[in-house]
Amino acid sequence: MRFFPGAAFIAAFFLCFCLSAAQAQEVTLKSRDGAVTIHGTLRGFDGEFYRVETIYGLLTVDGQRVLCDGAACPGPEARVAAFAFSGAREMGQVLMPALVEAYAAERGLTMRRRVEDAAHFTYALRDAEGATVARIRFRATTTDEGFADLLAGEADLVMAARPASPTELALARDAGLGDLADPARRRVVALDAVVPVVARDNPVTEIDEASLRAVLTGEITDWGALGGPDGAIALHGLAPGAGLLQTVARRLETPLPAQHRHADSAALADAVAADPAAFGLAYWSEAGNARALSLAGGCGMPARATRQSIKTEDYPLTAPLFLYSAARRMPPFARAFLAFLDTPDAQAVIRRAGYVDLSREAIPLAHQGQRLAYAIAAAGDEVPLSELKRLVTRVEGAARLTPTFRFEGGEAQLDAQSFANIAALARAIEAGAFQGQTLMFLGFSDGRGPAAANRGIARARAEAVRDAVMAAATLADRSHLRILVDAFGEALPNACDEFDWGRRANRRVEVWLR
Amino acid sequence: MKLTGKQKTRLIAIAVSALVAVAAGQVMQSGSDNKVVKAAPLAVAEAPVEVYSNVDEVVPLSAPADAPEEAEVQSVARAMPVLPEGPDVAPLPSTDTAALAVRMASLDDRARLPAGALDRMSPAGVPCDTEFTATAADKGTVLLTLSLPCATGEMVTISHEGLRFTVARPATGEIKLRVPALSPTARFAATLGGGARLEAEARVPEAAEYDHVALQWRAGAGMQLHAFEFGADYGKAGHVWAGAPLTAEEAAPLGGGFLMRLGDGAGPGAQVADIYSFPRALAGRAGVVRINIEAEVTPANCGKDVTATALQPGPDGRLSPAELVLSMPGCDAVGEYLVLKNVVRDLKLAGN
Repeated sequence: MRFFPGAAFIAAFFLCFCLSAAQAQEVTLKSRDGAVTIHGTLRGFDGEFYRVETIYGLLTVDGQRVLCDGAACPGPEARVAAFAFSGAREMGQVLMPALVEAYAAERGLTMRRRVEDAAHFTYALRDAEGATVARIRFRATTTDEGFADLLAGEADLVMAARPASPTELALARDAGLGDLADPARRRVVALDAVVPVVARDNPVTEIDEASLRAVLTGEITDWGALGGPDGAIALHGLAPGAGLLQTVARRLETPLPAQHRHADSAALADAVAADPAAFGLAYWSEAGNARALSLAGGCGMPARATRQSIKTEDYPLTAPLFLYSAARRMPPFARAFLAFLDTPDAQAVIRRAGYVDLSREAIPLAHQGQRLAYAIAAAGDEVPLSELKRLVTRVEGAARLTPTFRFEGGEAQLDAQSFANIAALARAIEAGAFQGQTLMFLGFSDGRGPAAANRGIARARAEAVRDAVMAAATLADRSHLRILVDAFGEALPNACDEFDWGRRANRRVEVWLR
Repeated sequence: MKLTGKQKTRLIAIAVSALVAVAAGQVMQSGSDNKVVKAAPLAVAEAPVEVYSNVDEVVPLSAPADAPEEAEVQSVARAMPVLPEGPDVAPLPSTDTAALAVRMASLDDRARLPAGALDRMSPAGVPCDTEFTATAADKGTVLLTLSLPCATGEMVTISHEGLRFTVARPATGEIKLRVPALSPTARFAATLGGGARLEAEARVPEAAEYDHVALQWRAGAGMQLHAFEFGADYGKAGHVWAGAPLTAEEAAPLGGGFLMRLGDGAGPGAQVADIYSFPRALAGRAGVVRINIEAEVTPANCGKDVTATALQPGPDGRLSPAELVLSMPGCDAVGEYLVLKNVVRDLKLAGN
């Protein structure tokens, strides 16, 4: 802990500095060409703008354009954007540093990374004149510790491998940090998934939900029960506190014991890859030299984690990676970095680092033959072939877009990844990405209950998603965009309804474009 | 027109080669290969090039700049045949006087063959022409040859796309090196001790098939770059580092990568680099190559900060540098190694 007391000290230093600076001290701001001079009392400097009380009233002056003269003028250190990331090592070790480095390169800044150890390091970014522009601290431990650091004022951004818990939300509200569940405070940086991993020479290729739960709880201890050769399963897991564990525990509603504990997903994958008897859960991005098992549904539709199936959430165990920020002022540099995360350049960095990016992809109908074949095979009294024909006519010549909307256990609550999809889709509509085309929101449901009722629920969900997207796209020019809503209920399942994760994958609103 | 240092060097180089050819009564073929850039002999390169601020006014080898050099070579000159001076003397005996006239005319009128120009030869009698070439070789590499007949004891720093390393000039003055090309149009620069800069370029289309990561440090810092391919253990096949680097040819049939330790300089400011190259497009394997940085804890660096530079692909795929400052463990850990994972990102391969 030699790291964060330092951050606290610097924060305290800044606070004192700003207070003393605000104390009735006269400053003179001169434009760089000397043409304009402003005298007044410095009320504040946020690293970017001076606020000065003058005879004309309170003025805000761009710090880039003026030179400050006077004892109260902030020193060079006040111009340095200092902020700290804390949280999941799965994000802090590779993903976020890669993004910071890319952003620094894009701004033409040189970087110096001071490494204390694998979990603690600091970037100093300098401009062409050698002046330090930003000092960014990283603490890459666990999601739990990230939220604790935010609450303690020792971090500005939490790298979270799971959504904030109700307790954390309540504590943050009490601490005056605002509502962390607000989409403005919670941003999905990249997508990942939880995959069961085995060694490459292990003959088992898939596992269903019940067997997975049984292996994790110790009810199944032999590979023979999973269709492999007889032999004990060596169960590998992560150190307690990892966000991944909590994601899985929440979805599978099971505690996760393990015989072998590892510090992170990469170490786990390395150990599993070296032992044919090993089994563990790892992040897709860090499955490394181990092999990921498909999730079987028992009805012939195994879900394999791929970039597209994670983007569409057709793979059941997706794990969005979040960045949480408190409702307090961030240095302009930090705000600009957060804006950079939405750019195509940042998406390319995310892909290169081995994660799933958020950029929209189109999946042509021709690539969905497997899904259609299964739907035809499953057609019957509930879903007659005529309904499938209506579906095929609707999507003919169209492509499915990867953003897909899914719902938490309840009926109406969108999950975190879908929340991020609303904002992204709204931005694309505002930017005119679909001008002259037809955007279709198609509702689907699971197969429980009567088909007619399911179609009604599916339509209601599709309309709700459309309304949410269009409400967010306030700047959209709707004159050249056709929007259409339709519902097909249980007609085109993504997964088997036999297990909870399959039913969840089937309750969805897909977006198609023609 | 503003001249860069390189253009100046290039200009001086052409003028000097021509003068030497004229004086010796020989016909020299000027190099047509654009990979080759000839530069002035070192002594000339050290002359204050700012004098030539305008191309039109370039006067090669102004007398004041060469004064110290002349004093030194006078003794040698006495043993050599005395040559007439400058273009205003009688034509030299030649079998091709017409061509010679053209060459003479192409020289600046004001050019004067400085006294002792002929003496710009190495002790071995080789002209002090510096030559730097880059030739595409197999497996996305380049063969660099650097000829420095007269730069005794000189250190040469080679740089390429952010990679920098220093090599010592051997007694022969001939340096031959094989290095990975970091882009299909691979440009190399050699900076000599006196500041003269030579450039060479090679087209290496195969370079696009390789991923690279590199670490460079000041000689003596004791750093190492380690690659563990597809789950390889320490000391086993697939563990590629300076102690088991593999050649590009050895690595190819194994579907793995190779490491080159570049730089053998030892003086102050000398740079050493480890660069690992992996044939992403050729390997066709899924999995991960883990990359570690290791630093030996020595009595000289224990408890102190050590700096290095990591080079790894940026958003555009080109290598982007980041300076690293490593806090070395205390002196009770001397002889041990500081191992850093994830500072240089692993190579993740999705397979075909």
